[in-house]
Amino acid sequence: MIIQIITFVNIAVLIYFVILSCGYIFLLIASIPDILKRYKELEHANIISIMKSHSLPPITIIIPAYNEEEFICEMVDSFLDNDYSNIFIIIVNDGSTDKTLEKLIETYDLNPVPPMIEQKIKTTATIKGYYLSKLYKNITLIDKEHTDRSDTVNIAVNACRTPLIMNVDADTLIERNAISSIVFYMLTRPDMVAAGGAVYIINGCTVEDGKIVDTKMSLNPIYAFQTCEYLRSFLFSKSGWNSLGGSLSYSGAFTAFKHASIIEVGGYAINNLAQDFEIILRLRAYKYEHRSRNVNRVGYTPAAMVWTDVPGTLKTYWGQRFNWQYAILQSLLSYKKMLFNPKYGIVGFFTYPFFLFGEALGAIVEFIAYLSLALSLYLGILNVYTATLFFILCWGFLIFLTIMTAFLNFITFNKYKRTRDLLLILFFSVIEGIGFRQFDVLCRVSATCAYFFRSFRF
Amino acid sequence: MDLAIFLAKYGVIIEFSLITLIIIITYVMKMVYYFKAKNTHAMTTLIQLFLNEKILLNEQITNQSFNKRWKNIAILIPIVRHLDRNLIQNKWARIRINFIRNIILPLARRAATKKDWIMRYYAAESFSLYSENGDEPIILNLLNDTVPLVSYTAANAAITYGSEAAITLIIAKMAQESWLTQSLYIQAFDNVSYATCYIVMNQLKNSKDPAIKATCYNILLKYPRIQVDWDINTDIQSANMLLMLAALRFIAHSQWRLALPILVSLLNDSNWQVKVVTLSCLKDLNAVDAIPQIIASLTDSNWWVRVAAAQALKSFGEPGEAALKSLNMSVETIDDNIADSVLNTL
Repeated sequence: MIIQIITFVNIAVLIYFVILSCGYIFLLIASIPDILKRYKELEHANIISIMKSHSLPPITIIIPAYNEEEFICEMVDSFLDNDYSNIFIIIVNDGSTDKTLEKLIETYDLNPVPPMIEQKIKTTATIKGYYLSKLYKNITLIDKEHTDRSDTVNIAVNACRTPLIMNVDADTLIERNAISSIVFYMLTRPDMVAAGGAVYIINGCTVEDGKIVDTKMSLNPIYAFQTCEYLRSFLFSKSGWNSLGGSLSYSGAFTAFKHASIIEVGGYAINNLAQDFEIILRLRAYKYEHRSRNVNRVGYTPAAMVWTDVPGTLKTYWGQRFNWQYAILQSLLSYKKMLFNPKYGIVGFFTYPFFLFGEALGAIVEFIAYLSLALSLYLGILNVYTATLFFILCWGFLIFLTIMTAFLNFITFNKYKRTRDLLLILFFSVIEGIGFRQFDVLCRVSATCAYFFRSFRF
Repeated sequence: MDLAIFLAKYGVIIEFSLITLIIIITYVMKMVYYFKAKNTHAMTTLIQLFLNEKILLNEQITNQSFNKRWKNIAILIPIVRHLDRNLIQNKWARIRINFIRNIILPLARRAATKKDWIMRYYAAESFSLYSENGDEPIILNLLNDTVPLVSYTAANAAITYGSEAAITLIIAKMAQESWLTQSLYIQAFDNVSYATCYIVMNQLKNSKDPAIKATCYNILLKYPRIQVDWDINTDIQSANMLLMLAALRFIAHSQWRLALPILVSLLNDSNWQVKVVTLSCLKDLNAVDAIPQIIASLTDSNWWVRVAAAQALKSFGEPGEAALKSLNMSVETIDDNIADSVLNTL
């Protein structure tokens, strides 16, 4: 009986792997023309410079800041230095206990004025202060009591007056042409209501005065593994989804939205750790439920790039990925009405199921596969040759995806120019599958169990 | 089990073969891109040299004298823009129009119907440089393009073209946008003729839609001292705030000091936005006669109204500052830049 169950599990895992691999191969193939097209469009990026700067749609950058005294001014300066001149910046001090507020007030000569915030989206926090800068007409600071990130961003959305908004993380450095690239992308696609950009890892790069002067891969394995992962996710996965109407996941560090769309769907969800993931889900669902003019397509462009800091130790990595997995499950399962529902078109039939069974629950399947492998070995029913081949196949598939992505990067946006970096990507993509991947699986399984059993945690 | 072994064995071989193939293809593609970019750069340089020679010799450029291989609208438009920015002598102006008419416009007419949005964008750019009588349907088509960038650029072309159909369509589009996005289109109304002004005025008089009327008023702010031959007071008393504020700004702009009595009466309006815009208009009109009424606004319950009143008095110079000092009031002092950044968004 047990042997039959284990055999059944092994076959199920094999079928799951074949289906998932086919999905990833499809995404990879679909991403290639999209990436090449975005890259080709860069030839015409001078279109942005041809249009007069004040002719471009204004965009508000929303920066929620909680205890960011070390980097906040560098970050604001990077936006002021951006080549897109029609920007407004709203910094929301989320009840920081360090000197974030004081540093901002002093650096940008901010003066208190009565708040001019319409309550288009319901918010809960008390506004403690509203400041405008004497030095820069386009900088606003809102000081509020500490609540969650969604509430913080919603307050800024209420204060915003531009047709486009962009929500960024306070530890993100953007490239000089990042905003113009993303606005360019939105202006060149009909009915685009949200667009995500690519996120790269800053650890290992040389940063001077808030600018990245040299991009290179870190030799720290934890940073390097995450670099490979971010390349796969941001270069091929999200581009591949573009051909199917867009992904369900865009980075909260760098996504632009139409202001009217965020207002129409009611703003970011409170008490949701993956609010950036959830808002995209909500936009996608809203499109099919209401057929609104304001809520339509969601897209991604690898041509718009930012750099972010990632965890450097196994402990901080575990904490981050645990929260992400928990929050993604929370968001996905709150929209289970979309699962195989014809009302939601391709999202219901393909995108949502792929994210649920492939991305969110994939770690469970992989964990079960390892358990089944161990049990099979214990019970003496394991064909070692087949199992080894299968392991090499899975491991090789991961390497294949990473290498493909690395070379796509090489022929297009080429963020890692050195041969050293290419070789490092190759090296770490090979060793990623032995140890680090299993650690990641354990973390995500722990988070999944914590979600379903609430109190459980490894 | 056999299937599993088969899949695993051949899967591994295929994977590693594909990896090798990818590496080879990648380097080949990199070379292809490199040579393509080099080719484009070389062509651009040749065209620039050719045009510079023609400009120096003051020779017109005809279809026959222009190399067929150079007829690429995506290369020619940036070159023309570059020459417009850097060459202000008459020589370029003399051959420019013929160059656009003979070489660029035929390309633009073909590009306007292409599937690729980039071609349609360059077509719209071409028509914003110059257009002929038969180009109106093409421009209107581009104006309704689903790609926003093409539509914005076509708006420039349509305003330059200046036909009633084009201007009416643009006003209808602008009326659906927020104030900040309207500014994208309003830029294009810089330096247009009075014929366009009359089209906008007719639209204003005939339309019943408050959003369209407000848009027309915003456009008419570009023209100095227009004779008002419609009942503007109805719009100033409109329940629609957008229309009311737009009409208010317009009456101050067009009637100048003749609008003072209306403006002063609006200082008692219940809505703080109306009072702020009125004070802003009084400031622009240097309405020193209205100092007593403005002083009354210094004690308004709304902070922004008090700020606007203080700004207006400060801007009047000595009479205004004297009034502030004589009152010995602790008026909130605020930098003009800060107030402007908020007040100008109303």
